[in-house]
Amino acid sequence: MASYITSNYDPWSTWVNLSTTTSAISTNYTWTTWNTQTYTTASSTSDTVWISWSAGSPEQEYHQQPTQWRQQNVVEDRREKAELKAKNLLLDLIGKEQLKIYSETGRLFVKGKKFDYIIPKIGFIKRLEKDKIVDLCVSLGNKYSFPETDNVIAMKLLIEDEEDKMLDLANEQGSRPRPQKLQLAACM
Amino acid sequence: MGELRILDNTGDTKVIWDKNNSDEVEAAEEQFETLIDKGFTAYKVKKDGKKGRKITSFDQDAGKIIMIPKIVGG
Repeated sequence: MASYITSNYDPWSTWVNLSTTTSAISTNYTWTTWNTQTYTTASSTSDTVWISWSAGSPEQEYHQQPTQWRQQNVVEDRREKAELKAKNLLLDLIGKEQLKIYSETGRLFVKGKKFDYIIPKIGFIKRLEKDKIVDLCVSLGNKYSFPETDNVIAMKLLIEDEEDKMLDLANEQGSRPRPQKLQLAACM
Repeated sequence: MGELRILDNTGDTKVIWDKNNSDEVEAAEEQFETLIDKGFTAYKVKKDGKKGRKITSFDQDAGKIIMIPKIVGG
């Protein structure tokens, strides 16, 4: 052990394989050499060394992402949790079997007193008439702040008990001939 | 036990009450009325779901009440 601390042995110089004297070696120079000569001493900073060393580590990359990217992940995570909660409430209303169909199709069939409807998670409510389908635009106010299934629940309750109010509020966005076979949807 | 399910950006917020506990009933009723004043619509649904019915005053015997924020035409 004593040989390592004699004044004739310079571990730094040996490690970086340089012929320079001890006095010429600075910490920065050592970092640069370790970094496979990618950077000159002048341009090598603590940051560049760190980035080079940590490149490829997913965890490090995550922490190096812009704050906005991380915030977006948090928002998406919250939306997923909210959607799950909304589906749990819908489960109480339509049961396990129909919730499974809803989860697969994203559509709920609802019977009103005047018409039948299909409420999709995304898009216009479809009013099913004898020979045509009418697109209706009606939703929770500021609906994008709610999980999609909350909107489906609200429309279901409105149609079943207050169909006329829903029809008064809704704006018709167009219609098309009713196909012989309708798309699969969860129903009660 | 009764429950208010208030739709919001987290999915919903639940307020429960035991009808034998007057403090809980009072708190739930107060919440109900505050939301109605804000333009929410309340639907009483049976525990097993099925069809809801609109109510305008708090029903402490209701199994479940779903509170829906204002609905608009697009």
